Amino acid sequence: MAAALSVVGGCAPKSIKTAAVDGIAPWPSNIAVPEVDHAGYGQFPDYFEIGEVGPWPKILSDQHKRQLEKFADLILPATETAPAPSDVGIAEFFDDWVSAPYPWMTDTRRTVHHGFAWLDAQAELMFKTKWLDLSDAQATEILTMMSESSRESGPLTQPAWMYKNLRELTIGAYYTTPEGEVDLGHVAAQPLTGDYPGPTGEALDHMRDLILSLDLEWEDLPVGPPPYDTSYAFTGDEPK
Amino acid sequence: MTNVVNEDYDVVVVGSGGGGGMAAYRLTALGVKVCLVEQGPNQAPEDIPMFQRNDEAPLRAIGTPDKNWGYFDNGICGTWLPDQPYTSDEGVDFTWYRAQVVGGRTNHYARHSPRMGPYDFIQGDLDGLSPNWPVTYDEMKPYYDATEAVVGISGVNTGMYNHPGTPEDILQPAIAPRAYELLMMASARKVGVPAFQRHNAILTRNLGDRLACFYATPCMRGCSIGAAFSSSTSLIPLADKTGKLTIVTRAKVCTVETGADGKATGVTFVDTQTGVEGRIKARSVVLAASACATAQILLTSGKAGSKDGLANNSGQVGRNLTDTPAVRVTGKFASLENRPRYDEFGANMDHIYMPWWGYEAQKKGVMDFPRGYHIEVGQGFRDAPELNAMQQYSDRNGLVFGEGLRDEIRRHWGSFVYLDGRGEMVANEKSYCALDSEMKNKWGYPVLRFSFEWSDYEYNQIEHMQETFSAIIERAGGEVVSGLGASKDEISKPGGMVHEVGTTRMGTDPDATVCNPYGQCWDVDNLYVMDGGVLPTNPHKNPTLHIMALAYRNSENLAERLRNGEI
Ligand SMILES: Cc1cc2nc3c(=O)[nH]c(=O)nc-3n(C[C@H](O)[C@H](O)[C@H](O)COP(=O)(O)OP(=O)(O)OC[C@H]3O[C@@H](n4cnc5c(N)ncnc54)[C@H](O)[C@@H]3O)c2cc1C
Ligand code: SF4
Repeated sequence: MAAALSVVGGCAPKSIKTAAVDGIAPWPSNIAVPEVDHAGYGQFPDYFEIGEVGPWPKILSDQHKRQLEKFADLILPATETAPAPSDVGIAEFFDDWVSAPYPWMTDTRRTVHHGFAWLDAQAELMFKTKWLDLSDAQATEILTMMSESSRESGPLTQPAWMYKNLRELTIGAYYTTPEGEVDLGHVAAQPLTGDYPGPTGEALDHMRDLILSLDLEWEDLPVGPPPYDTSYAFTGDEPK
Repeated sequence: MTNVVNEDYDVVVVGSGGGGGMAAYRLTALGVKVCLVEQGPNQAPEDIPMFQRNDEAPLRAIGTPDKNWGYFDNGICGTWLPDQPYTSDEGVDFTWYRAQVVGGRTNHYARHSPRMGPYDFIQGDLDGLSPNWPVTYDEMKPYYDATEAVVGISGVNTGMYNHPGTPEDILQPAIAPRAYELLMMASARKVGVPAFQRHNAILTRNLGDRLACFYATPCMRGCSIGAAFSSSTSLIPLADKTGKLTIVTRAKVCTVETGADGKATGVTFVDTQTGVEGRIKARSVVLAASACATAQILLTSGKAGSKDGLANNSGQVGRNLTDTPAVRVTGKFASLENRPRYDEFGANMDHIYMPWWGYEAQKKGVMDFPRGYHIEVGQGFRDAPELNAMQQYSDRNGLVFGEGLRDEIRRHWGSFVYLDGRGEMVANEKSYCALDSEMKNKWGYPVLRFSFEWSDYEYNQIEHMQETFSAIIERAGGEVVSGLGASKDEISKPGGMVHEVGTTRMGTDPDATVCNPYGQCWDVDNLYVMDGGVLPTNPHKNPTLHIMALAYRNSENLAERLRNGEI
């Protein structure tokens, strides 16, 4: 089985940068981050009672939510056919996430509280306004800077971590929604009666063409629902 | 739950997973009065969250310290059961996944159900690195047949010598391979590795009250229609119908009690809700709490101050602990980018596998590892998107954002396929569990401490897997993107494959084994072990079917001895 636990976004470096570097706002790590110490949903959650968000109190302000929405909508802008993250509840997702009392949400909680203060400061420095008031072009300029900076060293390590962490969560949260699934072209399973048919005609054609182009055998493969061709045999392990 | 469950049971069975469920099923069918004790709660079929989407759960249903395998996972399994911690020796990172629910880990296991073959029972003769089983394949065959008839198996028979088939009147039709599974089958066969549709404990036809799979819901959450076998939906209801079964839940068994004559008189337990202790009396006791938990109960059941525990004159309780060495090699296939979409979910679990093919080469001594492995195949766009699995698709081109990112993710969705190796470990001196000398669980009983080491047998096997998997991926036109690091880094974590067995080995020598060939403890006449603890070796063929076939067989032995007054 796949390891069931993995930390999204990894660990942000704890080192604190206060020295001002030309054109870059210092990372405001002195801003207080709310403590979260209530219980989780427990080992026997009531699936039919608990809904889309956990039973813990939510800590994000409306301003944080708007700031996150702006960030997320730049990562995955709406298209003619697919809604923006802000239209599929990305703010509620982040609020649930940073409010959750589990250890690997701690980094993101800190990142959100420090990071949007930093984004405001950086926006002020570059464009004399706040993150929420930036034009898309201006915000994109800052995000580009964050995305291209090193997370290991240099003046933008913390913003670079923030970018990676929130980008990953945005993408993960977006594509787990029904709208995200449609945009991905994921065909969700539907209950069937009778045998599972396997790939559709188009998918089978694609696979047969591929397999034949690789000079592999197609004829003896078990294609589609039963019964199956049993001509393939392997006898290499028989005792001599 | 009452504190003292004082009825005249014939047998108290501890644990309701694969082994315990089968014991309860077989014993009650033979007219034996059984009390089944389970530390977890019961879960009604209608309470299984089969259809919920990942976004209908907190945190998109990812695993947390409360639910280690994901919010909806049925096993209520965890490494971090807060009331029941465990420790490991320094430098050892053992993962002890446990269940706490009626049905145990069968509620969410991956349902792969290959039989062991004739060779697997006689490794002592073949390579001498571990003992022969005290039974042969021919002796076990009727019990495999009987077990599979009640479990329900779909798949095809391979016709290969050491991979025995299921009788055609029991075997249900196999499930159609997915597109990427066809590709891997064709490639494997071309490089000389056999590939077949696998045996799954998943119904493709109705069986009794259980319905055939409808191919739409993650089996690891549990299957309320019983299509995916689990002890809780497929064995315990049948046992219940006999009127011979009593189930006590949320009762954690702490010790086996013995009388002046050294025979077991029942068990003590603690109510996990209230902490109140109780005891259950019975003519005999079956331990099936899973290999290490059973060892823990035996070790805890010694006389006060004795480290040796009960049924441990051999000193072998907790020894011979093995898990399955595993590695995952992932391929990226440009040819699968933007491929035609379809419902690839199927029965959720793998539909195909590659059985071990190298027995002759190993006999000739041309391989530098003694035991076999098999290959499992996954990914594509089989599962619904998961929050922490999207990175693979979004980060191929660096951490880009904005216009174009959606196309990028869509293009890569479904273009990765991984091969998972599942090998056989040879038991060694350094791998065992014992009682921790200091730490206690919530109720004051000592916790388990694990010691574990892979040996070169396993590392060499991992290297062989890596080479083979690369060949299969590359022959199919793919590029290996992960899994080829040093075997010491890539091998799975000890315990990580959740196939821990061997801690109460059965055999023919009372000085070297804990149980006789029927799972009866040599030192305690009316005490049996019916979980993975009794397995003398841990073939790569996933353990649950063997655990259940043995429980089926050994329950008949116990029932017979109860009937003829031996017990
Ligand atoms: C994700 C996953 C995938 C797997 N896939 C496969 C697969 O494809 N094929 C396969 O063959 N195997 C697979 N396995 C392994 C399989 O789950 C186990 O081999 C099998 O369940 C072991 O059966 P058991 O009866 O020994 O233990 P369990 O099924 O774990 O049952 C033990 C039961 O005892 C209870 N218990 C423990 N201690 C006590 C106590 N002190 N008092 C009372 N009750 C107690 C537990 O709560 C549990 O219900 C998988 C496991 C996992 C986790
Ligand atoms: S896919 Fe089939 S076997 Fe698995 S849970 Fe759904 S109905 Fe049951």
